[in-house]
Amino acid sequence: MLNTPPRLDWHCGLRTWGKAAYPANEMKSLRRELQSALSVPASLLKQANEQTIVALAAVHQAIQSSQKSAQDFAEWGIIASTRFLGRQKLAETLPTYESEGALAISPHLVAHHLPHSVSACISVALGLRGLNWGFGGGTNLEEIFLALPGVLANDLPGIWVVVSSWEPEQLPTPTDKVPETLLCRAAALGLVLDPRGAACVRVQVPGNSQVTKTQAPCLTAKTMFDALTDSASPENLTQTQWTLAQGGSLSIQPTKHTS
Amino acid sequence: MRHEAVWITGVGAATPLGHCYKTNSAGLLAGRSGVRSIERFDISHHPSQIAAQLEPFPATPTETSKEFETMGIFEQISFWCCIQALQDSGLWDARTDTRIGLVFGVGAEWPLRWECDWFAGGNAISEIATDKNLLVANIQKTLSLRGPFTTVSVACASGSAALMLGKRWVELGLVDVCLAGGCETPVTRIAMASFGNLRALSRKNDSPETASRPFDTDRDGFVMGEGGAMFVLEREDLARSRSAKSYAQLAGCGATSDASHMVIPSPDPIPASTAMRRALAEAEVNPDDVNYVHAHATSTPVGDVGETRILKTVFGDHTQNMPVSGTKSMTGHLIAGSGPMGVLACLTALQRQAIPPTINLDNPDPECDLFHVPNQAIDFPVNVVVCNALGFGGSNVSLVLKKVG
Repeated sequence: MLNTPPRLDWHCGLRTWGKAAYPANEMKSLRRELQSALSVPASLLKQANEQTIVALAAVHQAIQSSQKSAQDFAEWGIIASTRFLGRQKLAETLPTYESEGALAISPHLVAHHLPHSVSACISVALGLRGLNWGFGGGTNLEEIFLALPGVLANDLPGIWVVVSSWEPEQLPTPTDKVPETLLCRAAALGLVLDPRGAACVRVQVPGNSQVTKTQAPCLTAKTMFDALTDSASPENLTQTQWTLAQGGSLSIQPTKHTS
Repeated sequence: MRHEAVWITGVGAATPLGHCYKTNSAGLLAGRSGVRSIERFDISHHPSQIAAQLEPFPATPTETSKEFETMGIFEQISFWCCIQALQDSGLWDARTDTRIGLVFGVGAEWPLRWECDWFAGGNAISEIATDKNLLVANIQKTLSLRGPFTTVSVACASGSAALMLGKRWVELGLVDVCLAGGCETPVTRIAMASFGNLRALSRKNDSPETASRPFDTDRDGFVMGEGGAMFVLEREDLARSRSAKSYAQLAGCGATSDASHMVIPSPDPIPASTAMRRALAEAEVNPDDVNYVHAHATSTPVGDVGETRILKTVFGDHTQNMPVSGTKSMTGHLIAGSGPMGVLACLTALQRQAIPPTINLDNPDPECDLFHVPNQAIDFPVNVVVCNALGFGGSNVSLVLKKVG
């Protein structure tokens, strides 16, 4: 009625990346390591959610791989997509409220265990002054990549895209009984608007909302984690494509984009 | 890159002041408070016992009549605002022929739903089977929308961030039209307790209507509020081609981070002022062209002084000629819905050529020396407005709206 539905075929440059995976019983030591490595106040990471800590480790690794310092990314933004952030914390909080009342509830809940908390904490820890936004928050991590073209259209020199989750999903359980096999994974992509001269990320969205049938896997933190090599070196990267449940695809391409 | 102008052509609202744009606009200009004591659960052991709360819906949207009755209040206001915005824009009947995207700002969708379910006797938080019931997907499917959708979470700036991203989606051609805005229903046991223990909430429990008092010397924290608004965004040429009405042009957006603290506003005004400057630059207006600022103005001691500093950094001496008001004095703080609530106030100013007041501003804080509009609306010529949203996690989002025509 208004016009022909548009189709988006969008690229951006992939400058660096990092990934991290930790079981629950290593979180305490990871907090200490990051606090020391980044020289941040202990209070910042002490209350942070586990997905935040692992996501920060992934971004830290990406910065190290880039052979730059955190200050070099000071004007960058960060967007993060988490999976059910704060589920465990809230599950512990609900019966506490019932048994002990309002005054027993942690004030850190609203700061550290909501969907904005990952991007916010990393922004504070690394001094990132571009925007810091959270996306999605449920089972699906793809919304962040549908948002990405719009986010990078804001005169940012670059953006960190971080995805994280417990896989399989960590259902509430006593914290000392989380299976050691359960891993919290995060992947961090350092992206710039200009796709030339580097590996790139490509987002294709069809003009209708029908899902394109492909053999490509669905996007999860684990499949993103598996697609990234340990070192941020484009020549070691293999092309990977994901199907987006809303239609279209996301791909990481190791070849240099020249157009 | 220069883009076609993006207009706001439809509004859907559900706030403590009413369930449509007109009632909100009238309530804002009348200086009506929506704050009262909380009665829906036992609040007696909470530090803060007051909130701005939604009235019952005046009607059930016939489009979702079966589902609406069984929804929780969060889902109800979300559907209400989306349906009303599309109807208001004149696009309701054409929605399946138009590529309509959905960018929904919410601070805590899942925690809110889990909490409500828990206190209703459920245990969805421990059940993986309910994990796929995503609100935005449900809205898209139920309303037969054909564009992409996403949830954006930026704490108190979520709704403004959604409007910013919605504008970009329209400009990029990803969608023809975008529903964008935000809603939140944080008047719950856990949210009231956590924010209360953070000492962020007002404890003026004996005087609900006067508890939220931005810029006043006696302010002691914000008052929680619930509700939100959704807006239809579309390119000017498309809106003109179908003779759509226009509330305003969403002319510029800017976003930054303080990178300072998870909950305390930064003492450095530069990051937030940078967001505002970027929004003004995109809108192609100078600071002196701005006729009104809807301040984030939560009524916290630190936040209001900080925002005053930010406004002075951007506007300099013009702050003495440019009215500033904070409507959270009437509506409380709608969290993700607060930016959209601010946009309702800005649209009111642009359309009615009048500035909604900051109520309860009896003794302006000397550290907040701005051109206030205390307690009563004033007539004022308004062509360009700024709407600020400053969120936990140091997020700053500024929007610039211009009068059309």
